[in-house]
Amino acid sequence: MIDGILQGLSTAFLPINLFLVFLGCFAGTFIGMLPGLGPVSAIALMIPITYGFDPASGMILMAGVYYGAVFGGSTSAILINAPGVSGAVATAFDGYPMAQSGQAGRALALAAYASFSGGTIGALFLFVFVPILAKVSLSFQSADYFALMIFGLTAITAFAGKGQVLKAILMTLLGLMLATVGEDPSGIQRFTFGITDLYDGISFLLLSMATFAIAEALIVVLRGGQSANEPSSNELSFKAMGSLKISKEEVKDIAPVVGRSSVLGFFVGILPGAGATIASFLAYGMERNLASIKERMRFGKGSLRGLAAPETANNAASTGSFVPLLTLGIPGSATTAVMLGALLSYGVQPGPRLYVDYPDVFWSVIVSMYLGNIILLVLNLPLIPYIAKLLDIPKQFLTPIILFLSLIGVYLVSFNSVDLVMMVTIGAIAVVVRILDYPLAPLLLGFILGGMLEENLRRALLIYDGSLQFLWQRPITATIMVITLITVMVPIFNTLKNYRHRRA
Amino acid sequence: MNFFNNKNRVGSSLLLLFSLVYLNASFDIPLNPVLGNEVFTARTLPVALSVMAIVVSLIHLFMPVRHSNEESIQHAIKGFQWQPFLLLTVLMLFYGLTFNFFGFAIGTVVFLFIGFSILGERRYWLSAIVSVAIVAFMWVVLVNVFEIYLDSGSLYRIVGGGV
Repeated sequence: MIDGILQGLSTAFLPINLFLVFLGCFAGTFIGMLPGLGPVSAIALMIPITYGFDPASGMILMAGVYYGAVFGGSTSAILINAPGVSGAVATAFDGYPMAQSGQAGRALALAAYASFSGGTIGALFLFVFVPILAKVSLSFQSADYFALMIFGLTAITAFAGKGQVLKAILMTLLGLMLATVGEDPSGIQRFTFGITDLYDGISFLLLSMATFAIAEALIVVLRGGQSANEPSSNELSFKAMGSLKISKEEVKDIAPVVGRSSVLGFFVGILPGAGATIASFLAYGMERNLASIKERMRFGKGSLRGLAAPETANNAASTGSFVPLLTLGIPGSATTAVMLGALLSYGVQPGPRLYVDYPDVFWSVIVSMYLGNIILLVLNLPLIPYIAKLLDIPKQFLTPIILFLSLIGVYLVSFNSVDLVMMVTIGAIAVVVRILDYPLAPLLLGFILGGMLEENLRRALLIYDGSLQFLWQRPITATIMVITLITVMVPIFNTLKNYRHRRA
Repeated sequence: MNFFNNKNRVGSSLLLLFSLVYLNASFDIPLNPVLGNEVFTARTLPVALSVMAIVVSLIHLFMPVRHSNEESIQHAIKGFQWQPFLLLTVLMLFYGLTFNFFGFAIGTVVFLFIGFSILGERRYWLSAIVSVAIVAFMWVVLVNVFEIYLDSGSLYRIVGGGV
């Protein structure tokens, strides 16, 4: 393990990789600030650029972009009440009122310190938990992997929004169906209809760019240039940034909040499907409940605790979401699903073998994630007033540029103009899906896990002579299946309980 | 509530239709004759997935309407600006279909210029400058820095006689 860490450190500290973390944080902050574009779109935009890179450098850039985009989302949430990412919605509750009262600088500084602390504690947990989990998962076989894939799929539906469970299941199934297009593991063409461009299946990059970047940009156009949470004329004058300083008393006041929210955020982030949004809301709610009556009254009106809690938790959760990705090869969120797609495109199979086969990738990503936190704090914070100028670019210029970057990003990978047409078509369908209020993240997750699920199920059935006995005979498989069952049953049970309660 | 005004009804109907077409196409997947009576064939997962999707779509379709306002499509699309959306979608399709003919440089300048205009930019000189500047910057970065080949397009080859 020490060798691996040293190898990871030496890889992460290579000048080119340090530059990539810096670049990633900077680019991520820019993209994350744009309403409608979150970490998923930011990372998807980076995939074509990183194709020529070695896997470690590619992942290092993406880790930087991830943190940058999360921080960028918080910046636009604080400055113009337009959270660039859903994980920053809770940040806007108290961040925006602070900005309105002329404390934008302090709010941004606090968000940066809180994110840094959350990321630091999250990274420490990552160092401890990832190797343990990776060692355990080394004994996994195809049957266990199949159970894990099922767990990954069911968890996202269990954590879907209120009243969205069935929709999330449908979208997951749609993603799994789309994953079957192309050549199957035994070499048979499926659903290609003689079109040669479909022989290799639908490209993951194309699907993710179409469903997120293109669809998001088109939704903004449909709404007349406004994102969902954006006020029309509340843009803050940057003259009103105010001081970036936070007093010692304030630091003392928020220190316990940061500690609690980090632990909560990290463990929520580990759960597949939960992620930064749920973590930030849980942390906000927890701090509000723990606060004195006087302090509680300030929540929603510019409370420092109310700002620190979600900011810490969403960064810790972002770190935590790497645990299932790096150790088990299952993405815990749409963002890590895109990263999984990127890793697969580099020829790297995430999961327990990653720890053994690619220790440089494994550890350098973890080290770089921490470096990303430091860079965000040291370099981005003073630059925020200038970076925020990006929000001044008129939307009539910004939207076509985003659409062009998305299209050209996909073209540069395949050099096939048919992909552009396919991407626009899928993007337009994704807009309809968004209007109908169906979540797109489960679709992406289903698509990503579909291939692996089929391959492992096929292999497990081959080993067990066509019998499904492995589901209950292998202790690891049985345990995962029981956890899966609990994850599915708990929300159903709660819904039934609430229904009975209402009827009584 | 009107069937066609309900997000859940319309969404689940569309997915049901897709699943039925997918199921039908699943039976056209050829089987590998070399593998004989294998338990898991190329058809197994597609058939299983489509059956599951049909069942879930039907459940969703026949679930009672709970929040009519939240589920209303009319409510969801109120105030939407369809014209720029449709024009931009057509523009992107045009960009994709004509990319090989116009090539990266001309195609992108045209795409950006028209895109800016669709979204209401009337300072055409500024649109032209921004479009050309972006394309020039991207060309330098992609071709000179990353050494990526970008197609000049058939039009350039016909007019300029280049390769």
